[in-house]
Amino acid sequence: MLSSNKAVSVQGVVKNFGKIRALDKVGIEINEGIIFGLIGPNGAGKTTLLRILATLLKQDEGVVRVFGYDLPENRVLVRRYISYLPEDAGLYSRLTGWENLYYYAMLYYGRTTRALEVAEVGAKISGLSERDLSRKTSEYSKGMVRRVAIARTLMIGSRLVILDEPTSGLDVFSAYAIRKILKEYSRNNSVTIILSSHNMIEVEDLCDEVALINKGRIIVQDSPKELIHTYGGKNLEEVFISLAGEGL
Amino acid sequence: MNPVYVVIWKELKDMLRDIRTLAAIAFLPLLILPLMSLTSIYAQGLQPGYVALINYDRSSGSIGGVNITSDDVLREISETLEKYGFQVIQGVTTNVDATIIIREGFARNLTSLTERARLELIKTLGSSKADQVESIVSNIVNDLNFRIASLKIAELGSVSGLNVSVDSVLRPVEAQVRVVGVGGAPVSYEETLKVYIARFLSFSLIFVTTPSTAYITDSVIGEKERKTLEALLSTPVPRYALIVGKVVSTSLIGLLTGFTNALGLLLFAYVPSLIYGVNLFSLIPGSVMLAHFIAIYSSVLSSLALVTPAVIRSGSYRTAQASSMIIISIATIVFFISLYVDIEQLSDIYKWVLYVIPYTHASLFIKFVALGMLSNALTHLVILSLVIISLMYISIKLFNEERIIYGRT
Repeated sequence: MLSSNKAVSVQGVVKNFGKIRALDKVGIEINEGIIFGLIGPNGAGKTTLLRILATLLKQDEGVVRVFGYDLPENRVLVRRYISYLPEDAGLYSRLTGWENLYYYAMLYYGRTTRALEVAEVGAKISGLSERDLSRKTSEYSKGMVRRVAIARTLMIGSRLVILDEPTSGLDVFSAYAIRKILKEYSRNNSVTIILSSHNMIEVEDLCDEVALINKGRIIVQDSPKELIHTYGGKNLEEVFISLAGEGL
Repeated sequence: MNPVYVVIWKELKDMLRDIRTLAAIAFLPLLILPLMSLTSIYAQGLQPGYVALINYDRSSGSIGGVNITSDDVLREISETLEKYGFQVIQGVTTNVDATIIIREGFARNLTSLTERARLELIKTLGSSKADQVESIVSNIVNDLNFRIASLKIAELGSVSGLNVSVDSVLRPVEAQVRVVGVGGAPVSYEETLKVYIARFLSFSLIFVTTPSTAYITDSVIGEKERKTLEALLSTPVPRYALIVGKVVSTSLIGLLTGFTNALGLLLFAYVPSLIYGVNLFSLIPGSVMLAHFIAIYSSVLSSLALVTPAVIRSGSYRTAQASSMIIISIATIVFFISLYVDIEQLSDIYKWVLYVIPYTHASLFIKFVALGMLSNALTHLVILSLVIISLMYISIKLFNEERIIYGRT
């Protein structure tokens, strides 16, 4: 199953919350080793789709496969291959930055020396000093919290990294630092990253492929360059506006 | 056990670093409850009490050759009141806690064989000291009644030529009380006291349930509200490890807080007992103390096992706390009942309703240890353990990521 070159395959997925249809026959295919952007307005269904991929929700209809494994049936197994950063994810505020990293490393690798090594990798990815990492995260700025949260997600070495709005609410410098971390990580490791974002510059800059989702449906899926070329916009933002149109 | 250890590692670090909450929940009762006891005793002593004594009696009387005047009775009342720290004022005055009036003819009526003497006590509304005066006067009057009645009976006996015993006239019935153990062997006063203490220890478990339910609510719902839960649930950590890890770590904090709370309550009773020269702790055998410790931990685990299924299906603190309140109320009822009622003697329907509640078994466990009935104690401990394990299993089965994430807040 793991030899499948599709990291994610989603076909005809429907998800309802009561009378509200959050996802309406969604279908996407994501190849291994790419950065995939999921863009769409608020309430489009981005988070719902990411939560399904992160094994936290079950679809009502349709097929979801991660590295060839069907979800939700194989969710326990799939959790070994993914790491997920929810939107506005917090840290344990009474633990230090280092302890936050070590705790997550232990959740994956138990109380082993491997967990310590993984946490060291996390500390490096975060770019924070040893002194900062030994402080409780309640003393951190929002940017520092996000750096540790991103590092916690990436350090595991999962084959699929799912990031929900990784830079939302951050200032320009912090967002830039996060993008730099993601670029470096992606360049050095052949992992698949799926991220959702409102920031078109970010998506254009980071992603090999994007999908536009609106009102629970995937409108289009292609590389940013191809989308700009095909739909004739100056940038991805114009493509996004023209495709989503008044529906926004 | 490795993933369970990992969860416990994090939870204990998180909880133990919240010093302010821990101090407020665990250590404050140790300070507050004995202090409450002490202050209430000393505050009573600090509060001055004033009593006015008014004597309108000019009569005198004698019985059995003993002359009695109202001044003798008033002197006795006055001296006793002063011994208890009251200031006694002779004559009519205002702003007093109580006024004692002896009417004209008191001594004459007291020594008469046909009349009754009258003493009036006027209490001032709202005065706590007035109640104390009533109790003192009542004791003196009871004692005076017995002494005067004895003299009158002796006098009547002498006049009639009958052989009269004062006790057989005044107390024709004597109730003899003996306490025996379960096997029928007589037991000492100390042993009786130990059983009462065991009941009190059961009652002290009331304080055990609240802190642990608060901690488990924070451990689950707090993760959701601090936005750490989703990422945690997407990791490969098994759900059983999450629940068992959270419950075990919370139970350890619950044990600490439960123990200090229960100890605080014991100190509440211990401090005044020391003032009156009794060392309550010396009357508690080691086995009962150990049973109390086990009962505390079992009660903590019971609370957690009962509340966890509700908490993991709650969307917010409010709904989780509402569930916790129900559990705490049930525990309070059971532990309060155990103070006055022999649960195993109740009729079947009430008994079995109570047996369904795990706290009942914690309470009975302590009681049977105090009575030395170890097999019964062990039975209740086993039942309690099975209930806890079953409820934990239900919690694991009820665990639902979607429900937690999208639970109504």
